Amino acid sequence: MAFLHVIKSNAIIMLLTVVVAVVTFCSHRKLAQQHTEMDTFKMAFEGITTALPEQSKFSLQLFDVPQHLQFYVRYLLAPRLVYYPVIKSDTVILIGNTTAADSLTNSVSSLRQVMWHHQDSQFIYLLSCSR
Amino acid sequence: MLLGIKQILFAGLGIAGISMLYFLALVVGLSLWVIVPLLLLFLLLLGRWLRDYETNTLIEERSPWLAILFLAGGLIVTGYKLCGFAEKYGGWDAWAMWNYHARFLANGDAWSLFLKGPIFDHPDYPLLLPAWNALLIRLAQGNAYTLFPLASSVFFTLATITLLYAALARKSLIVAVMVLYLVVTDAYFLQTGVSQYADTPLAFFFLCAVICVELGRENQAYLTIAAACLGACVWTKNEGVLLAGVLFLFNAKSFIGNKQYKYTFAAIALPLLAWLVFKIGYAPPNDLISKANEKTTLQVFDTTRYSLIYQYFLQNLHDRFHYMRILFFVYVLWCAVIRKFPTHNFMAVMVCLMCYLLFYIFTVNDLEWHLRTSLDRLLHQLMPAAMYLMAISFTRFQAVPISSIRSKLHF
Repeated sequence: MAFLHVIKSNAIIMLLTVVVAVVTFCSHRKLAQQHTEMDTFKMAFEGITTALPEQSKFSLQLFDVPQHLQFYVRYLLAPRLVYYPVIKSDTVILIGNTTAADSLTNSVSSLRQVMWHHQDSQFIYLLSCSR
Repeated sequence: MLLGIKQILFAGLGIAGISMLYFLALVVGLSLWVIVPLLLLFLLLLGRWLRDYETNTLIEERSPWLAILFLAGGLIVTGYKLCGFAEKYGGWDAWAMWNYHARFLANGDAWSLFLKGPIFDHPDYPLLLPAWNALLIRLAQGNAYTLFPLASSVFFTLATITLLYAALARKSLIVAVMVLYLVVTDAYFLQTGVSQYADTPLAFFFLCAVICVELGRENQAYLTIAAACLGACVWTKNEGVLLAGVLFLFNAKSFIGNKQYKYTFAAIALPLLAWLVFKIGYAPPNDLISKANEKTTLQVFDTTRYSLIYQYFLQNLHDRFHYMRILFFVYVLWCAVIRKFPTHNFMAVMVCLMCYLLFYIFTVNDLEWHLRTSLDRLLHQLMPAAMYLMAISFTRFQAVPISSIRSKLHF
Protein backbone atom coordinates (compact mmCIF):
# COMPACT_ATOMS: atom_id res chain seq x y z
CA MET A 1 0.00 0.00 0.00
CA ALA A 2 2.85 2.34 0.83
CA PHE A 3 4.36 1.68 -2.59
CA LEU A 4 1.01 2.41 -4.24
CA HIS A 5 0.75 5.66 -2.29
CA VAL A 6 4.21 6.74 -3.46
CA ILE A 7 3.28 5.94 -7.07
CA LYS A 8 -0.01 7.82 -6.73
CA SER A 9 1.66 10.81 -5.10
CA ASN A 10 4.28 11.06 -7.81
CA ALA A 11 2.22 9.87 -10.77
CA ILE A 12 1.68 13.31 -12.28
CA ILE A 13 5.27 14.48 -12.17
CA MET A 14 6.51 11.08 -13.38
CA LEU A 15 4.05 11.17 -16.25
CA LEU A 16 5.11 14.70 -17.14
CA THR A 17 8.81 13.80 -17.02
CA VAL A 18 8.35 10.74 -19.23
CA VAL A 19 6.28 12.64 -21.83
CA VAL A 20 8.76 15.56 -21.89
CA ALA A 21 11.68 13.15 -22.36
CA VAL A 22 9.96 11.13 -25.10
CA VAL A 23 8.72 14.20 -27.01
CA THR A 24 12.13 15.88 -26.81
CA PHE A 25 13.95 12.75 -27.94
CA CYS A 26 11.58 12.03 -30.85
CA SER A 27 11.43 15.67 -32.00
CA HIS A 28 15.16 16.13 -31.78
CA ARG A 29 15.88 12.94 -33.72
CA LYS A 30 13.37 13.91 -36.40
CA LEU A 31 14.63 17.50 -36.63
CA ALA A 32 18.28 16.43 -36.80
CA GLN A 33 17.56 14.90 -40.21
CA GLN A 34 16.13 18.16 -41.56
CA HIS A 35 18.41 20.49 -43.50
CA THR A 36 17.59 24.17 -43.13
CA GLU A 37 19.23 27.33 -44.47
CA MET A 38 20.84 27.70 -41.05
CA ASP A 39 22.49 24.27 -41.46
CA THR A 40 24.15 25.41 -44.69
CA PHE A 41 25.88 28.13 -42.70
CA LYS A 42 26.58 25.88 -39.78
CA MET A 43 28.46 23.48 -42.04
CA ALA A 44 30.29 26.34 -43.72
CA PHE A 45 31.53 27.78 -40.43
CA GLU A 46 32.81 24.49 -39.04
CA GLY A 47 36.39 25.31 -39.87
CA ILE A 48 36.39 28.93 -38.73
CA THR A 49 36.72 28.30 -34.99
CA THR A 50 40.52 28.02 -35.00
CA ALA A 51 40.95 31.26 -36.94
CA LEU A 52 38.30 33.14 -34.99
CA PRO A 53 38.46 32.28 -31.27
CA GLU A 54 35.52 32.71 -28.90
CA GLN A 55 35.03 36.20 -27.43
CA SER A 56 36.47 37.81 -30.57
CA LYS A 57 34.76 40.69 -32.35
CA PHE A 58 34.52 40.96 -36.10
CA SER A 59 32.76 42.90 -38.83
CA LEU A 60 30.48 41.35 -41.39
CA GLN A 61 30.12 42.32 -45.03
CA LEU A 62 27.45 40.85 -47.25
CA PHE A 63 27.92 41.00 -51.00
CA ASP A 64 24.91 40.30 -53.20
CA VAL A 65 23.26 38.04 -50.60
CA PRO A 66 20.05 38.52 -48.56
CA GLN A 67 20.43 40.79 -45.52
CA HIS A 68 18.73 38.39 -43.14
CA LEU A 69 21.75 36.07 -43.36
CA GLN A 70 23.47 38.35 -40.84
CA PHE A 71 21.22 36.88 -38.13
CA TYR A 72 22.40 33.35 -38.95
CA VAL A 73 26.00 34.52 -38.67
CA ARG A 74 25.30 36.21 -35.34
CA TYR A 75 23.66 33.11 -33.91
CA LEU A 76 26.10 30.51 -35.22
CA LEU A 77 29.27 32.38 -34.34
CA ALA A 78 28.20 33.40 -30.81
CA PRO A 79 29.90 33.93 -28.35
CA ARG A 80 31.66 36.17 -30.84
CA LEU A 81 30.36 39.68 -31.42
CA VAL A 82 29.37 40.69 -34.95
CA TYR A 83 29.45 44.29 -36.16
CA TYR A 84 27.05 44.89 -39.00
CA PRO A 85 26.55 46.93 -41.15
CA VAL A 86 29.11 49.34 -39.62
CA ILE A 87 32.68 48.05 -39.88
CA LYS A 88 34.20 48.48 -36.43
CA SER A 89 36.73 45.68 -36.43
CA ASP A 90 39.77 44.96 -38.54
CA THR A 91 38.77 41.29 -38.76
CA VAL A 92 36.11 40.95 -41.45
CA ILE A 93 33.97 38.08 -42.66
CA LEU A 94 32.78 38.61 -46.20
CA ILE A 95 29.95 36.50 -47.51
CA GLY A 96 29.22 36.76 -51.19
CA ASN A 97 27.34 35.05 -53.94
CA THR A 98 29.33 32.34 -55.73
CA THR A 99 28.72 34.07 -59.07
CA ALA A 100 31.21 36.69 -57.94
CA ALA A 101 33.54 34.27 -56.19
CA ASP A 102 36.67 34.81 -58.27
CA SER A 103 36.54 38.59 -58.30
CA LEU A 104 35.79 38.73 -54.57
CA THR A 105 38.63 36.39 -53.67
CA ASN A 106 41.07 38.31 -55.85
CA SER A 107 40.07 41.73 -54.57
CA VAL A 108 40.24 40.68 -50.91
CA SER A 109 43.44 38.65 -51.17
CA SER A 110 45.25 41.41 -53.05
CA LEU A 111 44.65 43.92 -50.24
CA ARG A 112 44.24 41.85 -47.09
CA GLN A 113 45.47 38.66 -45.49
CA VAL A 114 42.92 35.85 -45.91
CA MET A 115 42.81 33.82 -42.68
CA TRP A 116 40.15 31.31 -43.73
CA HIS A 117 37.94 30.73 -46.72
CA HIS A 118 35.18 28.37 -47.71
CA GLN A 119 32.86 27.92 -50.64
CA ASP A 120 29.69 25.91 -51.05
CA SER A 121 27.14 25.73 -53.84
CA GLN A 122 25.55 29.09 -52.89
CA PHE A 123 28.05 31.28 -51.08
CA ILE A 124 31.70 32.14 -50.71
CA TYR A 125 33.02 32.99 -47.22
CA LEU A 126 36.23 34.90 -46.59
CA LEU A 127 37.73 35.76 -43.21
CA SER A 128 40.44 38.38 -43.54
CA CYS A 129 42.42 40.98 -41.61
CA SER A 130 44.80 43.73 -42.66
CA ARG A 131 48.33 42.72 -43.56
CA MET B 1 -3.71 15.91 -7.14
CA LEU B 2 -2.23 18.60 -4.91
CA LEU B 3 1.01 16.70 -4.73
CA GLY B 4 1.16 16.99 -8.48
CA ILE B 5 0.75 20.74 -8.19
CA LYS B 6 3.50 21.00 -5.60
CA GLN B 7 5.94 19.00 -7.68
CA ILE B 8 5.29 21.07 -10.80
CA LEU B 9 5.80 24.21 -8.69
CA PHE B 10 9.05 22.71 -7.46
CA ALA B 11 10.21 22.01 -11.01
CA GLY B 12 9.27 25.51 -12.22
CA LEU B 13 10.73 27.36 -9.27
CA GLY B 14 13.79 25.10 -9.42
CA ILE B 15 14.44 26.19 -13.02
CA ALA B 16 13.82 29.85 -12.14
CA GLY B 17 16.06 29.76 -9.06
CA ILE B 18 18.86 27.91 -10.88
CA SER B 19 18.70 30.45 -13.69
CA MET B 20 18.99 33.37 -11.23
CA LEU B 21 21.82 31.77 -9.26
CA TYR B 22 23.68 30.86 -12.44
CA PHE B 23 23.47 34.46 -13.64
CA LEU B 24 24.71 35.77 -10.26
CA ALA B 25 27.52 33.18 -10.34
CA LEU B 26 28.55 34.48 -13.78
CA VAL B 27 28.59 38.02 -12.42
CA VAL B 28 30.79 36.98 -9.50
CA GLY B 29 32.92 34.82 -11.80
CA LEU B 30 32.51 31.45 -10.11
CA SER B 31 33.71 28.34 -11.90
CA LEU B 32 31.37 25.52 -12.84
CA TRP B 33 32.86 23.33 -10.08
CA VAL B 34 31.57 25.79 -7.48
CA ILE B 35 28.30 26.60 -9.26
CA VAL B 36 27.00 23.02 -9.55
CA PRO B 37 27.20 22.12 -5.80
CA LEU B 38 25.59 25.47 -4.97
CA LEU B 39 22.71 24.79 -7.35
CA LEU B 40 22.22 21.29 -5.95
CA LEU B 41 22.11 22.74 -2.45
CA PHE B 42 19.52 25.26 -3.64
CA LEU B 43 17.35 22.46 -5.09
CA LEU B 44 17.63 20.51 -1.84
CA LEU B 45 16.54 23.52 0.23
CA LEU B 46 13.71 24.35 -2.18
CA GLY B 47 12.48 20.75 -2.08
CA ARG B 48 12.49 20.72 1.73
CA TRP B 49 10.76 24.11 1.87
CA LEU B 50 7.93 22.94 -0.40
CA ARG B 51 7.67 19.51 1.26
CA ASP B 52 7.28 20.95 4.74
CA TYR B 53 4.11 22.82 3.83
CA GLU B 54 1.01 21.69 5.65
CA THR B 55 -1.30 20.47 2.91
CA ASN B 56 -3.76 18.19 4.65
CA THR B 57 -6.49 20.77 4.55
CA LEU B 58 -6.17 21.04 0.80
CA ILE B 59 -6.23 17.43 -0.27
CA GLU B 60 -9.50 16.57 -1.94
CA GLU B 61 -8.83 13.48 -3.95
CA ARG B 62 -11.73 12.13 -5.92
CA SER B 63 -10.96 9.19 -8.22
CA PRO B 64 -7.28 10.13 -8.62
CA TRP B 65 -6.54 7.24 -10.99
CA LEU B 66 -9.27 8.33 -13.38
CA ALA B 67 -7.92 11.88 -13.28
CA ILE B 68 -4.40 10.60 -13.98
CA LEU B 69 -5.72 8.48 -16.85
CA PHE B 70 -7.36 11.50 -18.52
CA LEU B 71 -4.18 13.51 -18.03
CA ALA B 72 -2.04 10.74 -19.51
CA GLY B 73 -4.28 10.68 -22.59
CA GLY B 74 -4.13 14.46 -22.91
CA LEU B 75 -0.35 14.59 -22.54
CA ILE B 76 0.20 11.79 -25.07
CA VAL B 77 -1.97 13.55 -27.68
CA THR B 78 -0.25 16.87 -26.91
CA GLY B 79 3.17 15.26 -27.13
CA TYR B 80 2.35 13.76 -30.51
CA LYS B 81 1.21 17.16 -31.80
CA LEU B 82 4.26 18.95 -30.36
CA CYS B 83 6.54 16.62 -32.36
CA GLY B 84 4.89 17.95 -35.50
CA PHE B 85 5.10 21.62 -34.50
CA ALA B 86 8.70 21.72 -33.24
CA GLU B 87 11.30 23.54 -35.34
CA LYS B 88 14.98 22.66 -35.36
CA TYR B 89 16.22 26.04 -34.08
CA GLY B 90 12.86 27.30 -32.78
CA GLY B 91 11.00 30.32 -34.13
CA TRP B 92 12.84 33.40 -35.43
CA ASP B 93 12.92 35.24 -32.09
CA ALA B 94 14.03 32.05 -30.35
CA TRP B 95 17.32 31.65 -32.16
CA ALA B 96 17.84 35.35 -32.94
CA MET B 97 17.34 36.39 -29.30
CA TRP B 98 16.71 33.87 -26.55
CA ASN B 99 18.98 31.06 -27.77
CA TYR B 100 21.49 33.60 -29.09
CA HIS B 101 21.80 35.03 -25.57
CA ALA B 102 22.09 31.48 -24.21
CA ARG B 103 25.14 30.82 -26.42
CA PHE B 104 26.94 33.74 -24.73
CA LEU B 105 25.82 32.84 -21.23
CA ALA B 106 27.12 29.30 -21.75
CA ASN B 107 30.60 30.79 -21.89
CA GLY B 108 31.89 31.76 -18.46
CA ASP B 109 34.31 34.37 -19.83
CA ALA B 110 32.42 35.88 -22.75
CA TRP B 111 28.92 35.88 -21.28
CA SER B 112 28.49 39.66 -21.13
CA LEU B 113 29.59 40.25 -24.73
CA PHE B 114 26.01 40.09 -26.08
CA LEU B 115 25.12 43.15 -23.98
CA LYS B 116 27.29 45.23 -26.31
CA GLY B 117 25.31 44.05 -29.33
CA PRO B 118 22.86 46.14 -31.34
CA ILE B 119 19.48 47.11 -29.91
CA PHE B 120 17.58 44.70 -32.17
CA ASP B 121 19.29 41.82 -30.34
CA HIS B 122 17.27 42.98 -27.31
CA PRO B 123 20.10 42.60 -24.78
CA ASP B 124 17.81 44.08 -22.11
CA TYR B 125 15.52 41.03 -22.03
CA PRO B 126 15.55 39.18 -18.68
CA LEU B 127 17.50 35.96 -18.60
CA LEU B 128 15.42 33.15 -17.08
CA LEU B 129 15.23 31.08 -20.23
CA PRO B 130 18.66 31.88 -21.74
CA ALA B 131 20.50 31.37 -18.43
CA TRP B 132 18.76 28.04 -17.75
CA ASN B 133 19.49 26.75 -21.25
CA ALA B 134 23.04 28.11 -21.05
CA LEU B 135 23.77 26.18 -17.88
CA LEU B 136 22.57 22.93 -19.46
CA ILE B 137 24.61 23.62 -22.61
CA ARG B 138 27.66 24.37 -20.47
CA LEU B 139 27.20 21.17 -18.48
CA ALA B 140 27.08 19.32 -21.81
CA GLN B 141 30.45 20.94 -22.57
CA GLY B 142 29.19 23.32 -25.22
CA ASN B 143 27.16 20.76 -27.15
CA ALA B 144 23.43 20.27 -27.63
CA TYR B 145 22.66 23.88 -28.57
CA THR B 146 19.38 22.80 -30.10
CA LEU B 147 18.44 19.99 -27.70
CA PHE B 148 18.11 21.89 -24.42
CA PRO B 149 16.07 24.86 -25.69
CA LEU B 150 13.73 22.34 -27.31
CA ALA B 151 13.48 20.30 -24.08
CA SER B 152 12.78 23.46 -22.06
CA SER B 153 10.01 24.56 -24.41
CA VAL B 154 8.42 21.10 -24.33
CA PHE B 155 8.62 21.09 -20.54
CA PHE B 156 7.01 24.52 -20.08
CA THR B 157 4.23 23.74 -22.57
CA LEU B 158 3.33 20.42 -20.99
CA ALA B 159 3.83 21.70 -17.43
CA THR B 160 1.39 24.57 -18.09
CA ILE B 161 -1.24 22.13 -19.35
CA THR B 162 -0.62 19.71 -16.46
CA LEU B 163 -0.76 22.43 -13.83
CA LEU B 164 -3.96 23.88 -15.27
CA TYR B 165 -5.55 20.43 -15.28
CA ALA B 166 -4.30 19.39 -11.83
CA ALA B 167 -5.44 22.64 -10.21
CA LEU B 168 -8.93 22.29 -11.69
CA ALA B 169 -9.23 18.55 -11.06
CA ARG B 170 -9.00 19.25 -7.32
CA LYS B 171 -12.41 20.86 -7.59
CA SER B 172 -14.10 19.21 -10.53
CA LEU B 173 -12.84 16.47 -12.81
CA ILE B 174 -15.44 17.28 -15.48
CA VAL B 175 -14.36 20.91 -15.77
CA ALA B 176 -10.68 19.87 -15.73
CA VAL B 177 -11.22 17.38 -18.57
CA MET B 178 -13.12 19.96 -20.63
CA VAL B 179 -10.34 22.51 -20.20
CA LEU B 180 -7.75 19.83 -21.02
CA TYR B 181 -9.64 19.08 -24.23
CA LEU B 182 -9.72 22.77 -25.20
CA VAL B 183 -6.00 23.27 -24.63
CA VAL B 184 -4.91 20.00 -26.26
CA THR B 185 -6.87 20.86 -29.40
CA ASP B 186 -5.51 24.42 -29.49
CA ALA B 187 -2.93 24.32 -32.28
CA TYR B 188 -1.85 27.93 -31.70
CA PHE B 189 -1.10 27.34 -28.00
CA LEU B 190 0.99 24.25 -28.78
CA GLN B 191 2.79 25.87 -31.71
CA THR B 192 3.74 28.90 -29.61
CA GLY B 193 4.68 26.54 -26.80
CA VAL B 194 7.42 24.79 -28.78
CA SER B 195 8.56 27.95 -30.56
CA GLN B 196 11.20 28.25 -27.77
CA TYR B 197 10.09 31.82 -26.96
CA ALA B 198 9.86 33.02 -23.35
CA ASP B 199 6.11 33.69 -23.60
CA THR B 200 5.14 30.18 -22.51
CA PRO B 201 7.46 30.19 -19.44
CA LEU B 202 5.92 33.56 -18.51
CA ALA B 203 2.42 32.14 -18.97
CA PHE B 204 3.46 29.19 -16.81
CA PHE B 205 4.81 31.28 -13.93
CA PHE B 206 1.85 33.65 -14.05
CA LEU B 207 -0.49 30.66 -13.88
CA CYS B 208 1.55 29.28 -10.94
CA ALA B 209 1.22 32.63 -9.15
CA VAL B 210 -2.54 32.84 -9.75
CA ILE B 211 -3.11 29.26 -8.56
CA CYS B 212 -0.98 29.81 -5.45
CA VAL B 213 -2.83 33.04 -4.63
CA GLU B 214 -6.11 31.09 -4.87
CA LEU B 215 -4.68 28.25 -2.74
CA GLY B 216 -3.43 30.90 -0.33
CA ARG B 217 -7.02 31.45 0.79
CA GLU B 218 -7.00 27.92 2.21
CA ASN B 219 -3.38 27.84 3.31
CA GLN B 220 -1.47 31.09 3.79
CA ALA B 221 1.85 29.38 3.10
CA TYR B 222 0.97 29.27 -0.61
CA LEU B 223 1.17 33.06 -0.74
CA THR B 224 4.92 32.75 -0.21
CA ILE B 225 5.17 30.42 -3.22
CA ALA B 226 2.97 32.88 -5.17
CA ALA B 227 5.44 35.65 -4.38
CA ALA B 228 8.32 33.47 -5.61
CA CYS B 229 6.37 32.80 -8.83
CA LEU B 230 5.83 36.54 -9.33
CA GLY B 231 9.58 36.97 -8.95
CA ALA B 232 10.06 34.32 -11.64
CA CYS B 233 7.69 36.29 -13.93
CA VAL B 234 9.88 39.38 -13.52
CA TRP B 235 13.01 37.35 -14.36
CA THR B 236 11.38 35.82 -17.48
CA LYS B 237 10.29 38.81 -19.59
CA ASN B 238 9.92 42.57 -19.29
CA GLU B 239 6.14 42.14 -19.40
CA GLY B 240 6.50 39.98 -16.28
CA VAL B 241 7.07 43.16 -14.26
CA LEU B 242 3.59 44.35 -15.22
CA LEU B 243 1.94 40.97 -14.55
CA ALA B 244 3.70 40.62 -11.20
CA GLY B 245 2.96 44.21 -10.20
CA VAL B 246 -0.75 44.04 -11.01
CA LEU B 247 -1.32 40.67 -9.31
CA PHE B 248 0.64 41.86 -6.28
CA LEU B 249 -1.38 45.08 -6.01
CA PHE B 250 -4.68 43.22 -6.32
CA ASN B 251 -3.61 40.89 -3.49
CA ALA B 252 -1.46 43.36 -1.55
CA LYS B 253 -3.42 42.80 1.65
CA SER B 254 -2.79 39.05 1.53
CA PHE B 255 0.88 39.44 0.59
CA ILE B 256 1.61 42.01 3.30
CA GLY B 257 -0.96 41.46 6.06
CA ASN B 258 -0.78 38.96 8.94
CA LYS B 259 3.01 39.25 9.08
CA GLN B 260 3.10 37.66 5.63
CA TYR B 261 5.31 40.51 4.38
CA LYS B 262 8.41 38.80 5.84
CA TYR B 263 7.80 35.63 3.83
CA THR B 264 6.82 37.61 0.74
CA PHE B 265 10.04 39.56 0.90
CA ALA B 266 12.07 36.39 1.48
CA ALA B 267 10.45 34.77 -1.57
CA ILE B 268 11.08 37.67 -3.94
CA ALA B 269 14.55 38.54 -2.59
CA LEU B 270 16.49 36.29 -4.99
CA PRO B 271 14.53 37.20 -8.17
CA LEU B 272 14.68 40.86 -7.24
CA LEU B 273 18.42 40.72 -6.62
CA ALA B 274 19.12 38.97 -9.94
CA TRP B 275 16.81 41.34 -11.81
CA LEU B 276 18.28 44.49 -10.22
CA VAL B 277 21.88 43.36 -10.81
CA PHE B 278 21.03 42.65 -14.45
CA LYS B 279 18.97 45.78 -15.10
CA ILE B 280 21.12 48.27 -13.20
CA GLY B 281 24.54 46.77 -13.75
CA TYR B 282 24.42 45.29 -17.23
CA ALA B 283 21.32 45.68 -19.40
CA PRO B 284 21.04 48.63 -21.77
CA PRO B 285 17.78 50.64 -21.64
CA ASN B 286 14.77 49.09 -23.34
CA ASP B 287 14.48 50.28 -26.94
CA LEU B 288 10.79 51.19 -26.64
CA ILE B 289 11.45 53.37 -23.61
CA SER B 290 14.68 54.95 -24.81
CA LYS B 291 13.17 55.90 -28.19
CA ALA B 292 10.09 57.51 -26.62
CA ASN B 293 9.73 61.27 -27.08
CA GLU B 294 7.08 64.04 -27.01
CA LYS B 295 5.48 62.65 -30.16
CA THR B 296 4.94 59.36 -28.36
CA THR B 297 2.91 61.09 -25.65
CA LEU B 298 0.76 62.86 -28.25
CA GLN B 299 -0.22 59.50 -29.73
CA VAL B 300 -2.75 59.24 -26.91
CA PHE B 301 -5.00 61.64 -28.85
CA ASP B 302 -4.85 59.65 -32.07
CA THR B 303 -8.19 57.81 -32.18
CA THR B 304 -7.23 55.72 -35.21
CA ARG B 305 -4.71 53.91 -33.02
CA TYR B 306 -7.44 52.81 -30.61
CA SER B 307 -9.60 51.43 -33.39
CA LEU B 308 -6.64 49.63 -34.97
CA ILE B 309 -5.69 48.03 -31.64
CA TYR B 310 -9.29 46.98 -31.05
CA GLN B 311 -9.49 45.57 -34.57
CA TYR B 312 -6.33 43.48 -34.09
CA PHE B 313 -7.50 42.36 -30.65
CA LEU B 314 -10.79 41.07 -32.07
CA GLN B 315 -8.99 39.48 -35.01
CA ASN B 316 -6.64 37.66 -32.64
CA LEU B 317 -9.51 36.44 -30.48
CA HIS B 318 -11.27 35.19 -33.58
CA ASP B 319 -8.26 33.51 -35.20
CA ARG B 320 -6.29 32.16 -32.27
CA PHE B 321 -8.35 32.29 -29.08
CA HIS B 322 -11.88 31.65 -30.34
CA TYR B 323 -12.84 29.40 -27.42
CA MET B 324 -11.64 32.02 -24.93
CA ARG B 325 -14.21 34.39 -26.39
CA ILE B 326 -16.98 31.86 -25.86
CA LEU B 327 -15.65 30.98 -22.41
CA PHE B 328 -15.62 34.65 -21.48
CA PHE B 329 -19.28 35.16 -22.43
CA VAL B 330 -20.30 31.99 -20.57
CA TYR B 331 -18.32 33.20 -17.56
CA VAL B 332 -19.97 36.62 -17.54
CA LEU B 333 -23.37 34.96 -17.91
CA TRP B 334 -22.56 32.57 -15.09
CA CYS B 335 -21.51 35.47 -12.85
CA ALA B 336 -24.84 37.15 -13.64
CA VAL B 337 -26.79 33.98 -12.83
CA ILE B 338 -25.11 33.40 -9.49
CA ARG B 339 -25.14 37.17 -8.88
CA LYS B 340 -21.46 37.40 -8.12
CA PHE B 341 -18.96 39.88 -9.43
CA PRO B 342 -15.96 38.29 -11.24
CA THR B 343 -13.18 37.46 -8.78
CA HIS B 344 -10.61 40.14 -8.14
CA ASN B 345 -7.87 37.89 -9.55
CA PHE B 346 -9.83 37.68 -12.79
CA MET B 347 -10.11 41.46 -12.72
CA ALA B 348 -6.32 41.60 -12.22
CA VAL B 349 -5.83 39.56 -15.41
CA MET B 350 -8.25 41.88 -17.23
CA VAL B 351 -6.26 44.91 -16.00
CA CYS B 352 -3.08 43.26 -17.35
CA LEU B 353 -4.86 42.83 -20.69
CA MET B 354 -5.94 46.48 -20.71
CA CYS B 355 -2.39 47.59 -19.88
CA TYR B 356 -1.06 45.47 -22.76
CA LEU B 357 -3.55 47.07 -25.15
CA LEU B 358 -2.87 50.59 -23.83
CA PHE B 359 0.85 49.99 -24.21
CA TYR B 360 0.39 49.88 -27.99
CA ILE B 361 -0.92 53.45 -27.93
CA PHE B 362 2.54 54.62 -26.93
CA THR B 363 4.67 52.28 -29.00
CA VAL B 364 7.44 53.96 -31.00
CA ASN B 365 7.36 51.21 -33.62
CA ASP B 366 4.99 51.07 -36.55
CA LEU B 367 1.72 50.21 -34.81
CA GLU B 368 0.45 47.73 -37.37
CA TRP B 369 3.75 45.86 -37.49
CA HIS B 370 3.98 45.84 -33.70
CA LEU B 371 0.44 44.51 -33.29
CA ARG B 372 0.94 41.90 -36.00
CA THR B 373 4.15 40.58 -34.48
CA SER B 374 3.41 40.64 -30.76
CA LEU B 375 -0.24 40.92 -29.72
CA ASP B 376 -0.94 37.20 -30.13
CA ARG B 377 1.99 36.36 -27.86
CA LEU B 378 0.86 38.81 -25.18
CA LEU B 379 -2.57 37.17 -25.19
CA HIS B 380 -0.84 33.78 -25.03
CA GLN B 381 0.87 34.88 -21.79
CA LEU B 382 -2.47 35.64 -20.13
CA MET B 383 -4.48 32.78 -21.60
CA PRO B 384 -3.75 29.93 -19.09
CA ALA B 385 -4.33 32.14 -16.02
CA ALA B 386 -7.54 33.62 -17.46
CA MET B 387 -8.75 30.16 -18.40
CA TYR B 388 -8.03 28.82 -14.92
CA LEU B 389 -9.86 31.67 -13.21
CA MET B 390 -12.92 31.30 -15.42
CA ALA B 391 -12.97 27.50 -15.20
CA ILE B 392 -12.53 27.45 -11.42
CA SER B 393 -15.72 29.48 -11.09
CA PHE B 394 -17.59 26.80 -13.08
CA THR B 395 -16.41 24.16 -10.59
CA ARG B 396 -18.51 25.98 -8.00
CA PHE B 397 -21.56 24.86 -9.96
CA GLN B 398 -21.44 21.58 -8.06
CA ALA B 399 -21.45 23.45 -4.78
CA VAL B 400 -24.39 25.67 -5.73
CA PRO B 401 -27.75 23.95 -5.27
CA ILE B 402 -30.12 24.40 -8.21
CA SER B 403 -32.76 25.73 -5.81
CA SER B 404 -30.51 28.64 -4.88
CA ILE B 405 -30.03 29.49 -8.56
CA ARG B 406 -33.79 29.34 -9.08
CA SER B 407 -34.40 31.60 -6.12
CA LYS B 408 -31.84 34.07 -7.49
CA LEU B 409 -33.56 34.00 -10.85
CA HIS B 410 -36.94 34.44 -9.06
CA PHE B 411 -38.43 31.27 -10.55
